Amino acid sequence: MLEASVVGRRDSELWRRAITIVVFTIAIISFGVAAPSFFTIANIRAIELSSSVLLIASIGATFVILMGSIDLSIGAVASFCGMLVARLAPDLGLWSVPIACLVGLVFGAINGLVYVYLRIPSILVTLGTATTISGAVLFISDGRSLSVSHAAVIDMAQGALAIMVPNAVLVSAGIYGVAVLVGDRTRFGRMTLAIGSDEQVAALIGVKVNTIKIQAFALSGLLAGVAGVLLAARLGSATVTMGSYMTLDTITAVVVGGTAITGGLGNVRLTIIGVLFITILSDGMNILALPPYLQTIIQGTVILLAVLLNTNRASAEDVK
Amino acid sequence: MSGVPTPIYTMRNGSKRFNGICVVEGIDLDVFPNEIVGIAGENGAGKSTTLKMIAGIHTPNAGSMRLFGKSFTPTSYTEAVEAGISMVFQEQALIPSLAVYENIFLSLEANFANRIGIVDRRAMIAVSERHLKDLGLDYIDPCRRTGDYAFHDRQMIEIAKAFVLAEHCHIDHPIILLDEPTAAIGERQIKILFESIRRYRRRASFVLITHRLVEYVELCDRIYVFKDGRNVGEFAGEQISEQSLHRAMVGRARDDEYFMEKRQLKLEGAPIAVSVKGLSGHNVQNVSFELRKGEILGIGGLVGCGKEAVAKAVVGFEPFPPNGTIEVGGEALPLRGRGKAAMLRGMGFVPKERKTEGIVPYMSVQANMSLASLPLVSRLSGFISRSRERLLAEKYINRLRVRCKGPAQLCQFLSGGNQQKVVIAKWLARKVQVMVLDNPTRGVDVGAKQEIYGVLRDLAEEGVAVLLVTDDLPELIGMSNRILVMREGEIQFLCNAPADNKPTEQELVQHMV
Repeated sequence: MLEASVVGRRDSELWRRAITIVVFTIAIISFGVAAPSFFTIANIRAIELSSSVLLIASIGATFVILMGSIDLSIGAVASFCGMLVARLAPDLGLWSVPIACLVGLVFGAINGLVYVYLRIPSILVTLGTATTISGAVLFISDGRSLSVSHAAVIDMAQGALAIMVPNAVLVSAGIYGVAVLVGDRTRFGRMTLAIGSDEQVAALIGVKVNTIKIQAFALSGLLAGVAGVLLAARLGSATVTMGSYMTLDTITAVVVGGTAITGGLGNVRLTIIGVLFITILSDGMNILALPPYLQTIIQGTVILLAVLLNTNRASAEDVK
Repeated sequence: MSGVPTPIYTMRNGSKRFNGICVVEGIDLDVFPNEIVGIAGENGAGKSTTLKMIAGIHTPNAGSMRLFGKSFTPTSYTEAVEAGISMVFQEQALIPSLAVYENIFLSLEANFANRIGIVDRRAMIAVSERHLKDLGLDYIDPCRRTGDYAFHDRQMIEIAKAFVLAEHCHIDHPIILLDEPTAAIGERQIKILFESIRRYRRRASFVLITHRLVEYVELCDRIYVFKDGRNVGEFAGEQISEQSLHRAMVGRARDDEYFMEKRQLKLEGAPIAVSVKGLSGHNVQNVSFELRKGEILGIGGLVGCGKEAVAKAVVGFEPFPPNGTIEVGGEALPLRGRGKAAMLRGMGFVPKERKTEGIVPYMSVQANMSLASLPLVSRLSGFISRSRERLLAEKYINRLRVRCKGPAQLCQFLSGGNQQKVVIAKWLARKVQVMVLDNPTRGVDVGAKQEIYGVLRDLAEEGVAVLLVTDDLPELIGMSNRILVMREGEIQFLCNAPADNKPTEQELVQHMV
């Protein structure tokens, strides 16, 4: 028997997964052939760094989407936490990092609490908080960019504890490893999937569905915060909208990874495929020096194709 | 019955198969002018399918239909409407955010358009107003949002729409099909609806399906009784009574081997596992009973009699009737957090809606089975151990004979019966003391049904108390040690059903209606 993941992989989907990987490999090879600088150490490092940040944020998004909810505040939370680190680092040094991450957790928990107790659809809750938090970023930064002036903070992303591997990659790999375990092998992971399938199943075995929902949103906020902090450390400065690309890129990465946007199908393990896909595609086109407008057009089209290949459209009863 | 003695609609030898399975076969059905015809039968007898054949929604695989003296072979609902047949759907077909008149003329707007395509709203409103007035529905404003009206008013709007459509298609005497029109409305609205139907019969014929036999008796001139997809009786006028209908609807030979009745335990003096006292609330009045260890207690009754509400109260599946006490092992279950408390006291619940309440389709068999007992398969670290989980799953796959490719197969790809076994396994893994099942064999094939009965017998032999709520009469009689019959929220009848002296379906049915 095929060694299948216990949670959420469909037998008949294995071949589709295979196609994705083949297409993926072909794309990488052709980038390498067309642009000799693609396979340079500098470029691979760049890909590693930018996928690290997106991967961390996308992991949080996966749990939320598995439940059938959505978090549109990831970009705003990341921007805020990145800016907060830049703001606090001169005074607090490394302590600014856990504080900023914790603020992300609080934002996420607020999303979850409002969603659960005021019974507002998560797409609207997070649309609202995203706007508010974006305003708050302007507030703490006066609308200007700030440089991250503390060497230890910058080192967190750019330094290399292990040879050749930037610290940001280690951090994201660690988080990914834990997240895969949590997704497949804990009650929380199982219940997010059960809730996305139908809340009654979870409620009928005595699970507090509301608690799981709030936890998932808090996790998403925390990881958006971590991603924002790493992004600021990696760039060496924080700008007011630096995280905003993450809101849609996380959703794309999750869906390209094969998790159903309606919830109840998928897992966090696969999200890394979507993340690498997005990052490598945009990096490759940059190296080929395609005109930026054309890049955007290609990116959109390719994402549509990837979603087409990776989602089980027959299983979605009502496509909305 | 008044009018000409020739039917305006006839069906001869109507048959319908889905995926090779025969749902109805050899149906003969007539509708006369100004007549109210009923189609009665148990769940799955083929009533709705027949109605949908008349409405052009299902095309019969065999047989012929005639309407107004001409051959009638609709391929869609629209064609049926144009020929003079409309259906009032159980789940309403009106769009709540549109005005009433917009709903009435939905898809017919083009008939009110002028040369450049602008629709004459005033004309549409005027026609709607005239019809609503004719039907005695003056209080409905055609310009208001449809969603502002209560469910029963929207039902009347659908009936009005049927008349408007008939006039529009130049039909003098439409046939209006009603699919469980009273399922979602209260007594007062039912009265209004029935009065209206009696009034409108001067201008139309009706075909009615309802789950309350008394409504057939009250309203219908003639009734066809269906059983297992066949026409088994036709009653008219004086012959119609609840008893005569129900006797014709039920009455199958019961096979005591099938229900393993020899394995039924004798339970003198067995300790009490669950004690229900004075359970009351919505749909349920003053229900009390005791459930003993090793006993299978069956609860029967017509749909809507409150038996599901009793199951929900026992396991704390919200919403449940709140008054009264449920004692498990001598201690009352709390009102708040009852679901969790019930589970902690060793209760398991196999819900009615398997696909939405029982399994997670895109999870593996093994993950579904361990869902309610994750601590049992977890390591000290708190993470689930896959090997323990697989062992657990393999144990119950063997024990319940779940047919699947292995513990890692997704539940989605299992048959209904095997999915149900997974739901049962989920609770067996927790070592339940009390098992509550709501229609556990609904939508399950014959072979798997018997295997599920075997599991229930095993459980009883292990001393588990089983509460079996079911719509299936042979199952109720065959499986139960004792049988409770409920009617309109109250316990109507309680009898012992020892293996050598089972009550008959008729004995039970007379207490149901």
